[in-house]
Amino acid sequence: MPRLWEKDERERMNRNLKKEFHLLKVLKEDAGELIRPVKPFTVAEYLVVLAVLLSMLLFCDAESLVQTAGASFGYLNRRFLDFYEYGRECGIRELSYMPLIYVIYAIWNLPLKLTFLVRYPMPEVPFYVLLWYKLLPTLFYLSSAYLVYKIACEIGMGKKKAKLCAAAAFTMPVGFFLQFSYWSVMAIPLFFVMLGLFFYLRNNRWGFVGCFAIAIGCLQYIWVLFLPLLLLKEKRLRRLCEDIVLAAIPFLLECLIYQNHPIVFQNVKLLDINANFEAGLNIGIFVIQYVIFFWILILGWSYFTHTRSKKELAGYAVLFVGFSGTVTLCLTNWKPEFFLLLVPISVLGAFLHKDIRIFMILDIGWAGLLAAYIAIKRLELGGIDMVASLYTILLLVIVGFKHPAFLAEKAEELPLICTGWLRARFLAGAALCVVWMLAVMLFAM
Amino acid sequence: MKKIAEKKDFILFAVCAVICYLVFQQGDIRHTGGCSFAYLQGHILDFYEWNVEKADMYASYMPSTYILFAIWNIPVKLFGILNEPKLEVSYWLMMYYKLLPTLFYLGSSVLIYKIIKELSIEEGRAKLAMYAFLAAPIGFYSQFLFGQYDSFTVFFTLLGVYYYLREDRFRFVLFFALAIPFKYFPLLVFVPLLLLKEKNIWKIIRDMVLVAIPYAVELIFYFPSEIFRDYVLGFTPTEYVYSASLPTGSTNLSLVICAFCLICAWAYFKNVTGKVLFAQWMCFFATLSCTVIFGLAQWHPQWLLFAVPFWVLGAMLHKDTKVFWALDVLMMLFFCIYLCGIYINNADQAMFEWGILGKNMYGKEVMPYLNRELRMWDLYPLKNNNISGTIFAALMTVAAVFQYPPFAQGNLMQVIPKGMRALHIRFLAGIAVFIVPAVICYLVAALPPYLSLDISNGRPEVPMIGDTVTQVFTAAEDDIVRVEFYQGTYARINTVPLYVTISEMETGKEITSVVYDTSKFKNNAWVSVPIKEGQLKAGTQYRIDFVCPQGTILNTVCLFRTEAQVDETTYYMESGIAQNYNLCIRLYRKNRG
Repeated sequence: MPRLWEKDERERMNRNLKKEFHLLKVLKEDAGELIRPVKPFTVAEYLVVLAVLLSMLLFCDAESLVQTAGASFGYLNRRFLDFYEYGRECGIRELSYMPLIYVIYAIWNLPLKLTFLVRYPMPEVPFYVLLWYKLLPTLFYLSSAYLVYKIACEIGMGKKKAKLCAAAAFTMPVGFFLQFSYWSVMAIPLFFVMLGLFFYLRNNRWGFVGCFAIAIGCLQYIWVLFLPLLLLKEKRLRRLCEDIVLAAIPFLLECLIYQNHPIVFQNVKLLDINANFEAGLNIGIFVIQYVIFFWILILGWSYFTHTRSKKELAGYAVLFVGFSGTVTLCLTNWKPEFFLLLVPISVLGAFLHKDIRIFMILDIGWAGLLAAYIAIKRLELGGIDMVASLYTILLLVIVGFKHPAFLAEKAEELPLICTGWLRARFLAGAALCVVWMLAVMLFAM
Repeated sequence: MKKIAEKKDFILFAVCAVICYLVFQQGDIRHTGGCSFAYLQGHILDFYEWNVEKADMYASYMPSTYILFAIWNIPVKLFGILNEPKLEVSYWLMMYYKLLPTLFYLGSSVLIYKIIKELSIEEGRAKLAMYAFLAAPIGFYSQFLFGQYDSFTVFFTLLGVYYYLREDRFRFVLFFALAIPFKYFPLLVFVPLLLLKEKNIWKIIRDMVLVAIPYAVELIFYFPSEIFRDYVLGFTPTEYVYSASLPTGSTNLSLVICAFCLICAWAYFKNVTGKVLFAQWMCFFATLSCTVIFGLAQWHPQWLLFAVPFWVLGAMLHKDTKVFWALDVLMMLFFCIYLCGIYINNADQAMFEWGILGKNMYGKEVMPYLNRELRMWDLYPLKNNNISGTIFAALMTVAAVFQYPPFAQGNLMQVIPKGMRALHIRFLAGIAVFIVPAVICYLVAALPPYLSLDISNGRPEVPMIGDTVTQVFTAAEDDIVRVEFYQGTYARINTVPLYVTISEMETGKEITSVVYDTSKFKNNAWVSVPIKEGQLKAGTQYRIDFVCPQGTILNTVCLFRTEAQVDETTYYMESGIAQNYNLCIRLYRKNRG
C-alpha cells in the first residue's frame, strides 16, 4: 500500500507544518503584534450591504412604525395631554410606547408637518412618508454601530479591531433582521443605551445616568439593563439611590403628566414585556417566578462583583446585561424586537473574547432561530416549544461564555479567522432578510 | 460620627420595643401559654388529653415549649391568677406570657455579642452586631409585633453555635439537642455545621444520635397519646418541605430535601482553617440552609426569626456589611407585603386586637371596624402574592449566596463607617414598613365614617350590559353618609357611562342619582355614591339601580355579587325578580354604633 502510506506521510508533514505555523503565530501574538493586517471590506461587500439595506428601506413593510411615527403628529398638533386619546381617535391602533418616543419622532416629523405633507396621525401613509419614517431608526441604528466603534476604542481594542467590531454590530444578522425587516423603534432607546454605555466606560457618571434616563423614558424595559450596570460600578448605597432616582426622572415626569390618563398605562405594559411571569416553581402557597428570581440574583451578583480594569468592567457589563436581557426576555412572553437591545453589546462581548469566530457562527443560529420562532408564531405552525427552547439555550451559551474568565488576554488581539466568518455571517443575515421580505410580499399578494 | 452602639441607641430601641410589645400581639401565644398550665396541675403523662378535656385546646408542639412556659407560669399559678388551661386570658397575663420569649430574644442578642467577641473581632463591631440583631426588622416583627416563641429555639441554637466556635463539642451538641424539640429548624443548621467540622464518620453518627436524644425521649414518652400523634407528629406545616418538587414520573423529588443534602455534602467536603474563615463558612452554610427551607417552602411569619442571627452574623463577618443591612430593609418590605396578602386579618393590622389598643380601653369601640374598613393589604401597591413572594425569596437567596466566604474577605477589624446611622435607618425604615400602614388602618377604623352594612367578598358575576340591576337594602340608621359598590373593569379601560340611582323602595322617591365615567374606575375597587346625612331614614327600604345602556361585552364594567343572602330585606333584583343573593355594597354612617 505505498500510495496510501505516501498520503499518510504527506498529511503528517502538513500537520507538523501547521503546528509550527501555529506556534509561530502564538509567539508573535505573545509579542503583541498581529500576523497579517486584517483585510478591510472590499467595495463589492459594501455594495452588497448597501443593496440589501436599500431594498429593505424601499420594499419592506413597516406597519408598526407607521403607527408609532404617525401617532407622533399628535404632539405637533399640540395635543399634549390627550395625546393617546387623540391618536386613538385618529385611527392609530398601536400606542404602546412611553411619550418620549413619540416626542422624538415628532421632532423628526417636523419637516413633514411644516411642508403640510402630513397634518395629523394617519394609520396609512404614502410611500415617501414611510421612507421618511424608516430613516430615523436607520440613522439611530447606524449611530449605535458608530458608538460600538467608540466603545471598542475606549476598551482598548485599537482602531482596526474597533472598526471591525462596529461593522460586525451593524451587520449582525439578528440586528439587521430586526431593524430592517421588523422595523420597530427599538433603535432609539438602543442608541441612548449605547451612548450611556460609552459614558459608563469613560467614567462619566452624569453622561451614563442621563443617557439611560432618556432611554428609560423611551422604554421602561431599559431598567432591566441599567440596574446591573449601575450595581456593577457603584457600591456606595447613597450614590446608588441618587443614580436610580436621577435615571427615573423622565419616566416619573411622564407618569406625572399622564397620571389621569389610564389609557397610557393600559397600552404601555409593565416593563413592556406583557409582564407575563408564568414560568415558575410552585412551592405550595405561591409560585416563585423565575424571571424575577433570577433577575434579582443577577443584580446581587453584579453588586458583589468588583472589577480591576476597564476591560474586565466591560466584560462583566456585557455578561450582566446579556444575562439580564436573556432572563427577562426568554422567560416571559416574547417580544422579538426587544432582542435588538442586546445586539451591539453582544458583539462587543464577542470581540473581547479569545474566540471571536465561534460567536460569529452562533450569531447565524441566533438569527435563524428567531426568524423561525416568528414565522411559526405567525403561521401558527407546530414546534414552537422546541424552537423557543433551543433559542433560549443558545442565547444563554452566547451570553454565559462571555464571562470575563474566557476573554482574550489583550483587548486588541484579533484572530484572522474571524473575518471570513464575519462575511459569511452577514451574508446569512442578508439572505434571511431578503427571504423574509419576499415571504411577506408573497403573503401580502 | 459614632461607630458603636451606645446607651442612647439601646434606649431608642427599648422605647420602640416597649411600645410595639404593648400595642401588637398575635393570638397564638394564648393557646400555648394556656396549655402549659396542665403541667402545673400535675397532668404530665396526659398533658395533651387534659388540655382537650379542660379547654378544648389541641396542643401541637413538642413538650419542651410547654414545659418552659409552665415553669414561667409558676408565679401565676401561685398567685391564683390562673389555675388551669384556658384560652381567653386577660391582656396583662398575655403580656406576661410574651415576656418569656422576649427575654430569650434579648438573651440571644447577648449571645451574638459573645460570638463576635469569640472571633477576636474588636469590641465596637461586637456591640454593633448585638444591636443589629436586636433591631433586625424581621426579628423585631417576629418578637415584638407577632409575639411568638421562636426565640426559645434561636437562643439554644446560638448557644450551640457559640460553643461550636469555642470548639466545645459536648456543649455544641447539647444545646442543639435542646433546641430541636422547640422547632425543627436547628436540625437544618446542626447537620451542615457538624459536617463542616467533623470528617470522622463514626463521630458524625455519634453526634447525630446524641443530638436526637431529647427529642426521642419526648417522643417515646408521649407516643401512646393519640392526640400527640395526630396533632404534634401530624402537624401539617412539616409537610411544607414537599410542596416544591420535581415530578419524575414515578415520584416527586422534594427540592428542599435535595438542596439541603447538597449543602450537607458541600459542608462535608469543605476543609477550612482559621477561626474567622471557619465562622464565615458556618454562617454561609447556615444561611443557605435557611434560604432553602424558607425560600422553597411555605413559611409562617414568625419562623423567620430563626434565620435572623445568621443573616446578622454573616453580614458582620462580611466586608460589605452595610449592603446586607440595606437588603434587610428590602426584605422586610416584601416580607410585609407578602404576609399581609397571605395572612389577611391575622398577621397584619389584626394584631391590634390583642394589643393594648385592642379590646382594652378605647379599642373596644374600634375593633368592630378594624379588619373590615381598611386592611394593610389594601395599602400596599403590590397585590400579586407570587411577585412579592418571589422577590422575598430572591432577596433571601442574594443575602445567602453572597455571604460566600471568598466574597466576604476584608479587614474585619476596621470600623464600619457611619455604621450606627445605617443601623438606625435599617431599624426605623424596617419597622415603619409595617407600623405605618397598620396605624393608618387603625385610624381609619377609629375615625368616622363607620361601617353600617358590609356585603363583601363576592365574585364578578354581574356584567353591566343592557338591563337595570337592583340591590335592595334597609338603612339601619339615620346617619348614613356614604354608599359604596364593588366593581371590576375586566382590567381594561371602558368608556361607557354607568348610571346609579338610589330611591325609596316603596314610594319610588329618588334620593340621589350619579352618572359615572367608567374610564376612571380602577379594576376591582369600591366606588362611592355620596349621600347626605339624613337622606336615608332608619328602617326604610331603599333600592340602588345600576344601568349601563351602552354597555357591550367588550366595553362595560362588572359588579360583584355574593353567594348568600344577608336577611330578607336585603337582596339583589334582576328584571324585577328578587334573588337570594346580594351585590357587594357597603353603607357607612357618621356616628359609631
